Order: sequence, then C-alpha cells, then structure tokens
Amino acid sequence: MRNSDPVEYYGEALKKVFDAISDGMFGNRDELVQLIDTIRNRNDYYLVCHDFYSYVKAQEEVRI
Amino acid sequence: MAELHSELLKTTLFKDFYELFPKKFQNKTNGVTPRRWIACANPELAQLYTEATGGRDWLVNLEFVKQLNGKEKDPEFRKSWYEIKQKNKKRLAKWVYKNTGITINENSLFDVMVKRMHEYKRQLMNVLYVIHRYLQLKDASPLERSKAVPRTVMIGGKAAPAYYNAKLVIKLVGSVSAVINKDKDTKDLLKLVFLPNYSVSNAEIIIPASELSQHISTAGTEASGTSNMKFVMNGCLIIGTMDGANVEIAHEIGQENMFICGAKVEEVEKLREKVCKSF
Repeated sequence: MRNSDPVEYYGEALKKVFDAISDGMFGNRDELVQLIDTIRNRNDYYLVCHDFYSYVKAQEEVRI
Repeated sequence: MAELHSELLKTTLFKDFYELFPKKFQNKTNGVTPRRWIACANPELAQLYTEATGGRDWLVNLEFVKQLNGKEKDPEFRKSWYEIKQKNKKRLAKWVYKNTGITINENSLFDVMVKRMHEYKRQLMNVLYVIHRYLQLKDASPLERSKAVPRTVMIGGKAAPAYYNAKLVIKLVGSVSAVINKDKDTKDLLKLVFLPNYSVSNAEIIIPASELSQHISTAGTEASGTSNMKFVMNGCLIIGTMDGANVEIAHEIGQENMFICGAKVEEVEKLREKVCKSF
C-alpha cells in the first residue's frame, strides 16, 4: 500500500494541526478535511508540509 | 517578471528559443510607484522621508531613501516613525471593525498577508501556522503566555470564481477565526481576521499599517510579486521565501531585514520527486 506512513512526511506538529481540523475543532469538518487532504494525502505539489518547519522557525525569530 | 523567473524560463518554458536566440532574452523586474504607495497611501511617512532626506527627490528616485540609513539611532526620528505607524494601525483597526465587526488590539503585532488567493502563494501554510500557534498557546502556562507577543494575523484576497480550493482556504480562515477570536485564554494574544474585498483602495489602508508581511510562495512559482515592494516602502518587515522579487528585495534591503524560510528554487524539483515517492 502506498501512503503507509504519511506522518513521516508531514511531521508531529502538523499532525496536531491536521488532527484539530479533522476532529472538528473549527467546524465545517467535511470541507476543511477536503482542503487539508490536498496536501497530506496527495502530492503536496507546493511543498507546504516541507516548508512548514522552516517557516515556523522564521516566525519564531519574529519578536518585537 | 523578477530575475529569478526570467532565468527559470531560459531553462524551462523557452529553452529552445533561448538556445536559438540567447541575446533576445533580458530581464525587467516589475515595479510599483512610491507616489501611490508612499505619498498617497501614507502621506505622513512621505513627509518624514522628505524631512529626513532633505528634499522630495526620493519621489522620483527611491535610491534617495538610502539617506535614512543611520536614522534608526536618532530618538526623534524613531518617535515620529512609531507615531506614524501607530496612527496607521488605528486607521486599519477602525476599517477592520467597520468591515468585519471584529475588534483588534492596536498594540498587537500586525501580521498581514494580502494577495490573490492561490495554492502556490500558500495562504494555507499561514493558517496552519496560526492553528499551530493557537494550540501552543492553549497548552502554555500563564507565565509562558505572558511572554508571548500579541499578534493579529490578517489574511485578505479574492479567489477566482471557479477556483474551489482557493475558496476553501477562505472558508478555513473564516472557520478558524470564528473559534480563536472567541477563546478567552488566547484572544488577547492571537487573533485571525479575514480582510474582505481586497482592492487597491483598501490596500492603501492596509499596507501602511502592517508590521510584518508574508510572501511565502513555493520557490520558483511567483513570477515577481509587487506587494512585497509596497510593504517594504512603508517600513514593514517581510517573512518570505527566496522567490520572485523577494530575492531582489533581500539584495537591496539586506537579508537582516527579512525573515527568510523555505526551500530554494534549485531544491524544489528534487523535493517534489521525493514527495511523490514517499506516497
């Protein structure tokens, strides 16, 4: 089976975020799951999951 | 388009033409005018630029603003700069209240991402980070929370009528914003707002009030992008990827004035292959 361990690809922090959405924390579950599925279960063509972690790092440098 | 994109076209889309007629290829990066984006949108900052550089030459040749270098140590200049930013933030906060009914903290960090809604621009990554930050704040102790810088994240833009995924991103912004803006534990520290009807007129209110702006497209996808220039002109810091005109802006203003993240353009192809194989 393909897609045996997607968590390995998108990592722990994103897993928490995806779980919050699929658990319905923000409502509109069906539509929002459909949206995140475009990056976690199919080809993440725009590399959102890959760049997310360096993005978080850059965001943490932002302190005023 | 930006230099990066012109180079990219030589090796991809127009490869054959480039081999035949290499001399016909030259670059002109897109631009915006300081007359509209400083003088019209932010007249008080324009006045400050004029006083500090000793003339209005910067209006026709932006090179003149380099004379502001060193002024960051001048307490009086800093005070005027701060007051202008605060005024613009107040103006935007009013606009936000009028158009969305959401009250935002004028003393929070204004983190703005306004542009067409598109997957390559990755507004989605921004919202995922907001959720990540929200979950972190929820878990944090009161002491840790007291150390956090309050932030208002604003996302605005239009989606093409049939672009379903782009519309879903707007739906996500709305859904997340409805939950976190009401949460008593975090609402003073983190808010998310969707700015409706993004247009030039509204941009003239939004951009001068911004302190951090996001330009986080996947490397190699943004032909140029010009709002990054508008933000920089108004003294706003950029968090962004090495894509489009960001590359040239980093060169002009110095990487120390930007928060750079993400894959480089030459890594993207390999990473995509890896992603496909891992699935």
